[in-house]
Amino acid sequence: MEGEGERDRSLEKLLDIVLWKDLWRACRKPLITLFLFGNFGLIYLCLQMDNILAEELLKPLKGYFLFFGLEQRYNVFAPTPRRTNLNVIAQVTYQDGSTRIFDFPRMDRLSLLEKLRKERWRKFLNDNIASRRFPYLYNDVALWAARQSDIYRDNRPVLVTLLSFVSDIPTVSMSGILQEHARNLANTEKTKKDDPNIEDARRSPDPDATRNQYGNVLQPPNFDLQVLTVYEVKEGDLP
Amino acid sequence: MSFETIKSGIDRFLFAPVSPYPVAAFRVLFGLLLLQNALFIYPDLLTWLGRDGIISYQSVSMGLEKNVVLNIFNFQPGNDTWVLTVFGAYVVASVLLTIGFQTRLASIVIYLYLVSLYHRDPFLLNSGDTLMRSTAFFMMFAPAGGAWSVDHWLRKRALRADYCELVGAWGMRCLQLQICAVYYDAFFAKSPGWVWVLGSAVYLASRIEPLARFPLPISPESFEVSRLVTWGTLFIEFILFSFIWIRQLRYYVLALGIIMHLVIDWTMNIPQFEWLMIAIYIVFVYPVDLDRIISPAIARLSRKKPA
Repeated sequence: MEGEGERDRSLEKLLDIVLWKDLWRACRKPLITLFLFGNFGLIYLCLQMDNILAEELLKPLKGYFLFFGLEQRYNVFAPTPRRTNLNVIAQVTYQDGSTRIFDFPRMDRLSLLEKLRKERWRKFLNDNIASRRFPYLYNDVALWAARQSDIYRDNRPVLVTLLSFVSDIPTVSMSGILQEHARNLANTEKTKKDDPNIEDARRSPDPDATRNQYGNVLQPPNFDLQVLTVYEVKEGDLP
Repeated sequence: MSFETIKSGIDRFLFAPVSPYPVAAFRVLFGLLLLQNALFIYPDLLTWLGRDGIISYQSVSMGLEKNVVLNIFNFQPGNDTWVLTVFGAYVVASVLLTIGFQTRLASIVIYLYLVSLYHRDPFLLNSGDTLMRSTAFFMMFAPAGGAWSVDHWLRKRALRADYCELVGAWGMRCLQLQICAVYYDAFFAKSPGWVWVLGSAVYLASRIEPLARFPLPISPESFEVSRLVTWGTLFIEFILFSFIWIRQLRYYVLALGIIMHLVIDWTMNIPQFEWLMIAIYIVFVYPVDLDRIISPAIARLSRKKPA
């Protein structure tokens, strides 16, 4: 009986060696410590903004970091929140010369539920396309707009102009003037039917004026339209 | 301080046996958020990732540094069926993670999907996605199925014993350190911005139209209000990676964090990030307190109705 028990113990020990259990037991703590401090060390290095030393230290291990998708930043609104509101539209020109505006999903025009679901469109269009950070994406977006606008069998899209609207966010001190402007706009809408001069009021003779001829506050000159790309639809682009 | 003191401190911090409750509770919330994430992306899935998607594989690789990356979509590039299959596996894995069945395997599948999504089209991902991906990475190593899971229930049944095994703290520490990394970056990235120092940052952020949701009861158009909320944000972000480690202050810090995220969620449309941040706070709750809240609820739910 004793011999049998001895044999079982030896077998167990042998299994432990084969399965590297002893080795694992010995290495477990140092390995886990290295894993944890190593990964978080790299993550904290990655969070250092414009730090040459951090960049240099990160360089040899960047491959590992990128492979596992561990690079991260949480610098939303940092160091300064964006000072512009941006929107993207596409103007699609068809074979017969007619044009159509292709609207991408716009957050400010969506319902609350749709806003949640389509938030990625904001991220993609506002932060990455309209912001002009990744110009190599423009052609893809224009082509996609062409495909979405390919709705007439005998009149297909031939040209797509990708446009970005940019309007500056006024400083705090200017926000009061805008509130007044909003009130004026609301009043304008109300009196639209009765006032034949309302169109004239919108067309102020002086483009830099802050008030029009009726004394209403105008939108400050903070609006811009930029062409991101003009894409010529090639053969084979459309299905 | 001797080397031995540091070593024993690290040993206590990483390997002290702790209750699996906090990580298990987070697992359930994380699983639900992953399912919600799937629900949000599904209608546009092929627009983002499909063969005729808005951004081609070539354009994405043009912008990336030349590196080998973990991307299972690349096994069959341009194959919509493969995209849907991977997505289906992700949804199933999210359900499994929520209920805690084959938890480790489910965590691996979820991480593979999230990291592949990141490499396939990083241009559509926000901070919530980034946090989700890095959390999923550490969840693969955390003892997520150690309690309140089918895995745990099956183990109990096999051993015919009602028990809850203590686990090494390091899995939970990974998640805690990840939260601190978020606030560390949020605070130090803002500090060089003069609008944060002067106090008009919240006003500017509130005027970004695509992000706007509901207005604040007190308008940040007033410079005083903007300054108060701006500095308050910086203060809360600072204490969320520093004072949170002080036992006596932890719950107060977490309460301020929850208030901050709820206010952001009310005013801005950044789905999932705020909810994930609030959910992940649970790994900072002491197991005794968690058990005191959750166990009676579970007991009440599992109590059989009288015949």
